[in-house]
Amino acid sequence: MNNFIEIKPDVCIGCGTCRAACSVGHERAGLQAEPRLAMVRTGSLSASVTCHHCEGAPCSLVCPVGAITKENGSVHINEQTCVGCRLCACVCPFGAIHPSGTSIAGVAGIKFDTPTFPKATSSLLTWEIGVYTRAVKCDLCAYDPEGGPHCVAACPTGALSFHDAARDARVRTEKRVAAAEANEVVMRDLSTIRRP
Amino acid sequence: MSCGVPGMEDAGCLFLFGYNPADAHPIVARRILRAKEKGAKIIVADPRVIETARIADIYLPLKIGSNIAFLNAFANVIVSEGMADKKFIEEHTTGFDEWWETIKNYTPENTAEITGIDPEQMRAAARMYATAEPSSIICWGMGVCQHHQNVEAVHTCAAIACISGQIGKPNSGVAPVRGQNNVQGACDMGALPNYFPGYQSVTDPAIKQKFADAWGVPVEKLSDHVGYKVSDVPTLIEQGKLHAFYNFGEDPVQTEPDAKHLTEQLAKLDLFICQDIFMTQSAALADVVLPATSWGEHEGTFTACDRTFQYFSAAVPPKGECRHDWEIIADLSTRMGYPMHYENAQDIWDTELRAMWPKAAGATYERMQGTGYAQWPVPTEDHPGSPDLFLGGQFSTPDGKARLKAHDFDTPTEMPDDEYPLVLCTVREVGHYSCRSMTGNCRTLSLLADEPGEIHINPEDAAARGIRDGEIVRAFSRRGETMSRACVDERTDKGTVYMTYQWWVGKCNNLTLHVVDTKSHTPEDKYSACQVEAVADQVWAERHLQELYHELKDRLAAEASAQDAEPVMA
Repeated sequence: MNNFIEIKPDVCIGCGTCRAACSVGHERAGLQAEPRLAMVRTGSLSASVTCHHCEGAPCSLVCPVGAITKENGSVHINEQTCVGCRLCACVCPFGAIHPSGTSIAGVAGIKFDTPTFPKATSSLLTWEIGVYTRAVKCDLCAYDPEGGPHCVAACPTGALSFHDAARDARVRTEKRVAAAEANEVVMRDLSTIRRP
Repeated sequence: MSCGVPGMEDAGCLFLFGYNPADAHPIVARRILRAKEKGAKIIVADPRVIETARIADIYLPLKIGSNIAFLNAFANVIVSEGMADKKFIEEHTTGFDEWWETIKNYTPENTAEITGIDPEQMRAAARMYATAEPSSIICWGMGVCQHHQNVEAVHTCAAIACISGQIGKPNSGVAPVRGQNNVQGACDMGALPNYFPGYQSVTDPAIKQKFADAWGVPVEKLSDHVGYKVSDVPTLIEQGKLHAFYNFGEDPVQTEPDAKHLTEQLAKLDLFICQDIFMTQSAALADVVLPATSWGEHEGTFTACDRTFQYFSAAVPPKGECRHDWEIIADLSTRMGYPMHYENAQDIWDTELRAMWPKAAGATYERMQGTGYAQWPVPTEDHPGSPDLFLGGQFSTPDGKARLKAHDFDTPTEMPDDEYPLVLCTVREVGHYSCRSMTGNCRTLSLLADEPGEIHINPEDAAARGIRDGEIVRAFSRRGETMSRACVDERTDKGTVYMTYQWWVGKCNNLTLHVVDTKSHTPEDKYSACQVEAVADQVWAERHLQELYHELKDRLAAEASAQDAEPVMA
């Protein structure tokens, strides 16, 4: 079983508060401020899309430096180990991984960004002078096990919920116990053979 | 609003007309979701597929600029299909026959070409609205108010609520959902050219006498006529009628239409004072800048769109030379010859509002402590407050009856033509607030949405111009031009482009038409003719925009740097 964020598109109002909460949380933890959820809008739906923490995560299979690992039912990228090769982003079936780097604007006498490519270009194809990129994706706010995932708490309409594998297993057991107890009501006659 | 925001959850039908809650008020959008979950029917009439349109039972994609034709036909269906509440009309309204003389000429069929709405869909929506139990609410926003037939559309919305009996009972009626957190409060306190605090007319002699007595001034010292409106400032300067302008809490160079013309006119003023918390583009033009405190540095009250007063306290003391708005005003007044003294914000609240306006008399600071609130009318301290107005069909007119008013449809001022074939409509986006002087300083919000902002364009319109999603484009009109980033968006109707008004470099108000209606003097921000074209060299465009933005920020920082000097003591 894996842990992941569940999304209800009908309840989403496209406000992007999840993205803001994601960005603030990661930035405070010293990670890339880039939000790890993408807001998708089509004619008929709005939803933030993020990592599914796949059981057989293709990203972890293709990573040449072992930066992507599976821990406790979720998939994590070590931003320090990542070399920014973008293979994981290419193979991700959900488009949930993308490269991100810290701009050098504001340091070393460089006042503001000097784009070398149109921003409409896919981030998989672009580069920026002096910027070392690494892959970022949802880590279920592993840096804050108590307070995370921050997007879930921030969503004003409750469109996001956290699927916790351990809790799901517990709930399933509880459901089975309830079902077994309900059977006893249906098959009342049998219960006469039970020890009083 | 005739109802409370929480009460929207318990209506049987919500009819959203020209109102996009997900971008303008996410908290109200949440109420609408809950209403739907509780079984309410949702009708959305909007040229764009707004978020709420996705959950609507009926979505009516009306053509932009066709409001009055739409509303008249909608009203017509209610009467001609026998859904009018004859008893309510008889007992609580006046002018029905005259009203019907106009409305009878508009049917869903004969307006279909103007509105673009399938007549059967319109009829189904009117039935859903008029027959909903226990109540229906018409909600509207700037999609009504920023068209040139704005007052007319408000009259018609109110008439629709009256003739179908969907007003005068709990959780019903009209919901003009006010835009900003305290625009209702500004009106309550009399920051309007025609009212003293509490909607008390400046032209009523008895009211004038009451305020003259309270303020201890001769009655003839108080103005006896309605003042100018802020939207007329550039016109008045041009006509030589306005020589000094004291502007506070607003950045008109960013938010008012036809920014180029406005900037030219502001330069002609003899005296231009700006009172703000940041060096905005307007403040940079001012002769005098008075630094005010921000919401975290002072206490006060906000009034929500549903007339709910709420208290907020200061979090930190003011920095540097910043002073509370009321202190600056009191000091100026004293120096100009009328000694004005208040102890604190509560003193103003008690003496200027509660004592002067019976409907707010019960809204004490004690009551608003913590998460407490008071919803006017709240005439006494033990009154529970009033989520709903006009209960039992008692309206605030002298005879207690609603006046029905109907108007004929007129086309917008500047229709698209061959040269400027697109309509520019200015809208809101959820991540940035108003002129962006505040939210633009927030790093996270800038990361999510930054200059030059977006221009939303239908895929067909984009393809016809060779524009691809995410590219920088040039937009221009008879007034001026700007650059923006194309968002090729299938939710956008063909022939219209949408821009939000907070981008400094991608400024849509370089393009907008400055025409106001004759009654409320609200600019027609929702309808200007424009054209959009692709920019060939995208890398150049990206760099150019970066340069423009940083030049502007540097200029504002240089203007603000005067405050870095040590103050000279006299």
